[in-house]
Amino acid sequence: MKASLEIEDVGGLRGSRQYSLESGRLNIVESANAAGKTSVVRALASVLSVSKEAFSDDNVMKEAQKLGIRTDPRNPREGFVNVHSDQAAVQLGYDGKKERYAVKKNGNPVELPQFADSRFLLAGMMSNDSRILRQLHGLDEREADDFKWAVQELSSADRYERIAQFLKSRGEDVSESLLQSQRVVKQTKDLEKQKSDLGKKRMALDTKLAGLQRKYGDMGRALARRQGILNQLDELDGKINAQRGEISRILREELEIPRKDLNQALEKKKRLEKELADLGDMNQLRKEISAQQKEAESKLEDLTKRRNEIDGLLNLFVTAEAALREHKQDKHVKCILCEEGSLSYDKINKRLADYRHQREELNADIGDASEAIDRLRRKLEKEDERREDLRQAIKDLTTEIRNLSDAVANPEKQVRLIEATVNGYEETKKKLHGELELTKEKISKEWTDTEAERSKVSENIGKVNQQVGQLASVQVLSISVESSKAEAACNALLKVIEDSVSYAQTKAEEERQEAAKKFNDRVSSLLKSLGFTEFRNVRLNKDYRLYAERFNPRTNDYVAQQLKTLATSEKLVIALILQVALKETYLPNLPFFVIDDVIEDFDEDRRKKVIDYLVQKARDEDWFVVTTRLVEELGPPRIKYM
Amino acid sequence: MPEQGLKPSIDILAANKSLQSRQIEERLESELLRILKETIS
Repeated sequence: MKASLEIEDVGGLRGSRQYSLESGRLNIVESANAAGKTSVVRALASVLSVSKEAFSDDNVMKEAQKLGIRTDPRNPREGFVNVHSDQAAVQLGYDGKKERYAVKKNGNPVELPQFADSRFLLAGMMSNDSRILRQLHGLDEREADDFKWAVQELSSADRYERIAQFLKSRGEDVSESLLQSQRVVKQTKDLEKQKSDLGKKRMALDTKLAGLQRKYGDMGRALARRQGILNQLDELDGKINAQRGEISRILREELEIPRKDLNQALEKKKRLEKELADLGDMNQLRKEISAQQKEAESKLEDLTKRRNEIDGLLNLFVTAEAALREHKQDKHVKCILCEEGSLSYDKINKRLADYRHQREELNADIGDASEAIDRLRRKLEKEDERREDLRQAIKDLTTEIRNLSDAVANPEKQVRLIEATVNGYEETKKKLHGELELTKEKISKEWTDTEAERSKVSENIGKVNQQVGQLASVQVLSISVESSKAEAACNALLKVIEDSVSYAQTKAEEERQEAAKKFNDRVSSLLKSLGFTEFRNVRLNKDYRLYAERFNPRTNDYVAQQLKTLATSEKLVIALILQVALKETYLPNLPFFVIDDVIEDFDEDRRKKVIDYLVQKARDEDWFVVTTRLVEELGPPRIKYM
Repeated sequence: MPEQGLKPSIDILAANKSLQSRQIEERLESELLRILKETIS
């Protein structure tokens, strides 16, 4: 099978380049030092690994940065995108698939490959920067033998763990709601008791009033009228309480969150608008930078002119030096141009050295001037980008604010309508109280005192009812649940969450154990295939630490060996075995395996074994095994097949 | 309440490697709300 790899402006390689890869063979990318072979393998690794989900995972992005597949924002000049370009692109075609990855210099993706698998960063690529070698060389935060990540991050264990963590946090929220619902039930019970006591008291007062009505028969009509008014007032109090309860509900359930969001959005918009204003006047900034740029360009022009002059002199002196080289022992030689004056080889040689030195200094100054121009250009671009980002963010916020304003408009209108209704009721109550006053004259003091007491009791019953109404629901997750059902609902939900957390944790451990078993089987079969007899029994133990036994020629036996104490070439052997085992365990169906640089670090005997093994592996599995080789006399990278 | 609770959903979410963490959390959240609604209905 063949694969086509097209790369554009990646790393040190400017412009577009095409390479053909062959499966079942070793594809060796050859070039001189710093001529771009690593850029080719990084390009290939990027299109195989940078997926949409990888972009949202900080750990994956950090790993990609360490492998040079993603630009480190602190050092964009050394990044994945060529320093003279704003964007890099990689296209890989194989097995009927066409994958494309394009990324801007600031790290923002333009196009992402569809089938990329971020596990390729840990399992499919070996270099001095890949995690296994970093770890064995003591350049990683993990201890040399701690390989839990190899069974955690690459298997589904990590996802089960994340699920368990999320559910645990939701469980804490539900526990909080459970406590709240228990408090609400108790408060409601207390209020119901108060209500019942007040009801009894009102009944007693009603009985007393009926007795007084019988006693003072002549109050007849006035009392009847009064009773009618009191009934109407009770009815109005009931209506007012119900409407106020509804207002509380709307405020709590429909307005609280959108109002909060709206205020936050308004504040954020204000902040961004201030930031945009602080960025200053665009034209003024352009003028300033443009003036600085002009100055830097004029300096560059002067320097280039001076270098050209030096180059002219250099050419003359190089010719003279070559012509006089055979007479270098003579103190003075006849001038080769006028054939009259005399020339000194030593003096000419010295001036030649001076001119070369001056030229080097000029080159350094030209480099500095070019960089200064580049810096100014980037500064302007950065300002433009920030300004554009701010404008877009403000635009998005304006839409969000409009939507949120729409969301609060209806409930607010409803609240205003209800408040108007309540005000109407209050007005009616006022009128009724006025009428009540008029009836007082005709009624005895004993009656009015009792009646005032009854009215007070009624008012208190209204207040208690209102409090009961406010305790009618409890917030569980994002749902308002009737208080009487909330405790049972929270308990049932907590049971589901606890079961699920325990299930996810058990599954995570099962996944780790299964991955470790597969990995250990692969490692032992690889040890046999590679024929590295100095090691045996290399495996992950139950704590997922790597155990290895090494041959000890003095005792003629194998003894347990600490990984950090191995020699560099032995670490390479272990790393290669682990890397291939990870590839076979986790990416058996992705036919690519990439090794950058490290093959040349093996000692000669082992290197031959490794290359033979990789050639055989490529042939047996029909893999594209891609590696690199330093060839000093070569220019840009080319591929050799083996 | 469903007998299996969240277990089938957890397995599906753990197996789907193209889902981002945020999407997994959103789906778990909506499953929890579904169970809560079933409990109180």
